Amino acid sequence: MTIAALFILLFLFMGLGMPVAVALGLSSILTILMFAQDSMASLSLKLFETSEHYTLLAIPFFILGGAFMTTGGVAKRMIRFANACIGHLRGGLAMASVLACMLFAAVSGSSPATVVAVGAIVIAGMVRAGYPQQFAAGVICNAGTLGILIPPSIVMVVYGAATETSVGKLFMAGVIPGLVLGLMLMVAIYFRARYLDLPRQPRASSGEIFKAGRDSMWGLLLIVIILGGIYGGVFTPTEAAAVAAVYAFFIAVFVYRDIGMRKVPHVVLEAGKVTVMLMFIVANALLFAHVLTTERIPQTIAEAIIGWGMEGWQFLIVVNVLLLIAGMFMEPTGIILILAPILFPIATRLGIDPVHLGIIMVVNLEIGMVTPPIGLNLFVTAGITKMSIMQVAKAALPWTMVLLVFLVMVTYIPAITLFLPNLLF
Amino acid sequence: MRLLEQLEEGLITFLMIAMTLITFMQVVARYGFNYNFVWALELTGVMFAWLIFVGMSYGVRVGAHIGVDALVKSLGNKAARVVGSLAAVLCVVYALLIVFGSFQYVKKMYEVGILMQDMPVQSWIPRAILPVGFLLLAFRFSQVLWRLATGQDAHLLGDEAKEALKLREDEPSGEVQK
Repeated sequence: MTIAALFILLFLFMGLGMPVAVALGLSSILTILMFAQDSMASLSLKLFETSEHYTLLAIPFFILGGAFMTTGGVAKRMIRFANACIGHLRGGLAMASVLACMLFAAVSGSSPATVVAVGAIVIAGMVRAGYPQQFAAGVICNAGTLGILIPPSIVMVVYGAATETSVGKLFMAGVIPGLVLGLMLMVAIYFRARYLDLPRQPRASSGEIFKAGRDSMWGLLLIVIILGGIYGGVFTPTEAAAVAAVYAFFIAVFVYRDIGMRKVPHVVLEAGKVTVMLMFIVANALLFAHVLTTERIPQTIAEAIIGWGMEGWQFLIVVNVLLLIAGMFMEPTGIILILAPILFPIATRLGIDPVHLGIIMVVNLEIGMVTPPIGLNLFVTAGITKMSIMQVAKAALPWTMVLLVFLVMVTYIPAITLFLPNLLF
Repeated sequence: MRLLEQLEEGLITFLMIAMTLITFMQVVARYGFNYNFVWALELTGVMFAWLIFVGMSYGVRVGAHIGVDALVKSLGNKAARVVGSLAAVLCVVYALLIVFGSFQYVKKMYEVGILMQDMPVQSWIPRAILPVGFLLLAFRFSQVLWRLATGQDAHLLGDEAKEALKLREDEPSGEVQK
């Protein structure tokens, strides 16, 4: 009864076009007032406690670092490097774009930001080189999702905070899947490009590769600092994020000189805006999750599922279908905070590794970003290309198939995710 | 009004920078000087809270909050305004409920008078941002409601695609290097 009220109110409020954060918060408050004894005072305290999650503090820092990297010409340098490396293959420009997305994902924790930073440059470039626009838009829309799979990743930070899983391990676990997905997209492009007879670029000299590589090295050092620092126990993920933000500022303003000192406050304010938008959702989603747990809803569902004798692999099918559907309608952070508390206890009971579950959720949410009606990457790609959202969705679909195959692989071959963290930790 | 807006923007920028620098200094102090600021963690926590609860009403003003507007957009102009107004009313109700709850909570903290863990500050003071912030939020949502009700152009939600693209406008468009 309670759970029905909670979810019906949530969907009703979201359908009315209320901000996701308010829809989450109001449905939780009303449900508590109707069915439970909690006072409004204790609910407000719950909202305040969001700020006391030390892990979540990494979010503003990663956003800030990403903002300096996005506004700067970092993406441009990475694209040049990627083109120099593999541009001479058939469909090379598209493959290089995927590589550039992978590189940029290693300095940014957000998928739409990756699409904007890389896509705004390469889609126009591909069209000029004779690629069909749908091809270019579809590839970038999907490759951009790597932003949340390749560390750093804001979605992983949120999952880590929600389930008390080590963010360091999650970051490490994202590395190999990120590389595999990037390669799969490139292979798919290669075959498609041969079929469509797409052009090649002239081969770059090794001097150009070296120069472009050295030029983009400052940006790429960021991921080395983050992963190396966390792995070496030099600092916590939150501190790593703060160091990364300071480093990104330093690189953008003093080394690359893409941003003048006077524009810094503007960049910070923009990052603040994104942070606030996200954290307002997080605060209310935590309230929502609080209602779920006080009503013992996760436990009830867990008991039921164990009672049916469902096995791990069957449960993972349910997880994937549920997340794919949720991903079509909601934004990743909210989904993680609502569903992780429900899925996590069940997964633990069935012997599924929390890190593995986290990466499965991330990959599902990647797909959610390229599936209509609500998919941030679709919106952003549509904005760049001036195509309609449905056109972009159609263009993205063939490449989303690659993502789906990849999802099945990640789900049923735990080694892809767990090999690296198990090796290192 | 303009003053409030500048204050909001200034505070958000300041808090972002201060949180980052304090956490960064914490690392530097630990390795450079083998020293630990005891209060750093608690202070950044408070700043984080202020950032969120000052920022949320700013987010309404600049249209940063996201939501699902596919349904509303498919309605006719008039119906969309009615639904939008209803949604805005609910948003105001939400904000006021929390103003009420958090005021009670802060009042209780004030009466009990506990200090914070690492800083010699009454613990109700940082928490006072809750009623204040949500009152501001209620104010911003009522502004949206007023504009919707009187038929002026207004949106409860931001346009996230446009937001993301704005980042690009600040710089010269790049050519793909060949």
